[in-house]
Amino acid sequence: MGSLFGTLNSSLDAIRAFQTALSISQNNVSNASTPGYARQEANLEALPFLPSAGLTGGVQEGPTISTQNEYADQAVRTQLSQQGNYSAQSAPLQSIQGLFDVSGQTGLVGALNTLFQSFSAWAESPGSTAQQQAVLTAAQSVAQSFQSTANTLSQTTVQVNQQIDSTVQQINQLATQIQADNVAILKNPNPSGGVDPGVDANLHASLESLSKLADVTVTYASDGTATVLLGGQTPLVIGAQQNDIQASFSNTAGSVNPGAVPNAQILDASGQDITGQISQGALGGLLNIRNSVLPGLQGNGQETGSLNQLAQQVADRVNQVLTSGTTPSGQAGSPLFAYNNASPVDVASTLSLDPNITIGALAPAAAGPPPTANGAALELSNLGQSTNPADQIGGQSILQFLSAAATQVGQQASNAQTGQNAATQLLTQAQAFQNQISGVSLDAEAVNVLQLQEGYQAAGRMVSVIDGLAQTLINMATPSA
Amino acid sequence: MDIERDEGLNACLFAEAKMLEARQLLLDAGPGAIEPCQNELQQIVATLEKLVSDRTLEANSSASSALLRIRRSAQALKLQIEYSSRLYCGWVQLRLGAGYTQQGLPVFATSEPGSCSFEG
Repeated sequence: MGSLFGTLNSSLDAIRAFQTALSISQNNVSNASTPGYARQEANLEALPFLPSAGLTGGVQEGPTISTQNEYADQAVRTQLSQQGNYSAQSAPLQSIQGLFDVSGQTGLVGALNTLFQSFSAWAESPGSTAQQQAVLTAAQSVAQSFQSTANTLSQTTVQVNQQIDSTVQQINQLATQIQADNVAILKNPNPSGGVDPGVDANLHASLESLSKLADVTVTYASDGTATVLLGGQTPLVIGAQQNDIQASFSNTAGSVNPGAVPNAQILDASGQDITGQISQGALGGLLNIRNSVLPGLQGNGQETGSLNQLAQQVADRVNQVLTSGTTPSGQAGSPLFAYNNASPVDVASTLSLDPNITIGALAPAAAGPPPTANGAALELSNLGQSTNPADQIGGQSILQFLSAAATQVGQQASNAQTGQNAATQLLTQAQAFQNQISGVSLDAEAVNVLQLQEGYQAAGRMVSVIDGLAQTLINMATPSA
Repeated sequence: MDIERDEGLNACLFAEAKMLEARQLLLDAGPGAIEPCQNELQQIVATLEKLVSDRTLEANSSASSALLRIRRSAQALKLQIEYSSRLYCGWVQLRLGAGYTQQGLPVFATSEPGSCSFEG
């Protein structure tokens, strides 16, 4: 009888085990497209077969094992974070890049080129009313371009501020969801071990969404709850506890430019500044635009900004040359430009034509020696490319300085676009890897994976050969070669 | 001469198309992808080597543009290969590793201490 009961029990265990396996399989199928869901494996354990001791063999269900592989998940989150970073930077950089038309046809570059051309034409006909009027018109256009560029940068700043606020709110909302998942894990421990697959799926989906927004480090406690650190240091979620972060925009102590646009700060729950910890994800990208790229152009509490430097140098030098010259009627010249000099960061946004300037007040003649009827106008026509240290900004001529600023913005925009493309590719690879880890057992394939490394190395060498051959052919095919 | 130029350009465009196929294959850079990818790369190498030896591309700006795109693709592909290599190498180390040496080299439990590296 004992043997019969043993056999029946064994069969019962096997049926239960296979029912569980079937249930898990169905769950896998129904959750195949659930974000963050990792395939669950039913672990069927062989029972000892020793009839003399009443052990009748068979199988029973073991603990359900999640194949969620933290390594693969982390790889996906890392790429999501990089992609989020570049994506967030790409749009504002494209907008800023549009302000600096390097072709010189439009915008600030075009307006400055037109001004220097008008000085040149005026130098050829210093008494021409038409050329004098052209100078005033071109100067007005330059002032408007500086103001327009400064205003667009201010608007971009406001937009980025809103995006930072919105991103911080999203981070806090996701942290709330993760905290709720942790609470669910603590209240309803999975009797078969591990975490309930539904909660696990929610948790991983939230973690992936969070990774797009900021660089987060995730570790798991022995009770299955997730600990989430922002920037590797600031705890967002620990078990059932959540700590909100907030964005702040205020000038720090030591600001030297009155009225300057303050930098963005991220504060932890205790009000500590944690901005420096956040470099990745959309928030890291937005902070880079907000605290590095924009201040480099429009200035902040500590720096003047290249746009203001340029506006001030153009205005000051043009005014100095004109006021040291004389008009055709023998009067001292008047300044062409005016700006609010209360703060160095306000120059570009307030640059305008001097209210007293008229055609007759333009002074083309230089006192010399030797005195020349068009000396001042000639000097102005060369101002853009002048190598005179007094005309330069940081060792660069005015046009070189402008070109360098435009090139830097263009390079940053290009890098963001290239980085976004690369991160998208690597994300696809990481997700494919994640699917493989969760979809099949690669443990058994570990040796093959080692051989795979040789395949990668061989492919890498071939790509290097292709790169070299392509370069050789480019040298051959370039028409000027 | 024109026929030769067209053939040279077509060969460049063929190589460029193969490059895109290789990149596409490596988006899922698992064990099954590497061999087809190598086949594509071998075809590209053979095509470009023939162009170099035939010297049919002189002063051909269209081919030059295609070759520049191939170089850009090569840089992207190199990044893909490097990333895949590191991904799998790291995973193997996690599965089979027995820690790291004081020099930071991974130690495998089942074999001599060694390391995975990518050589471009």
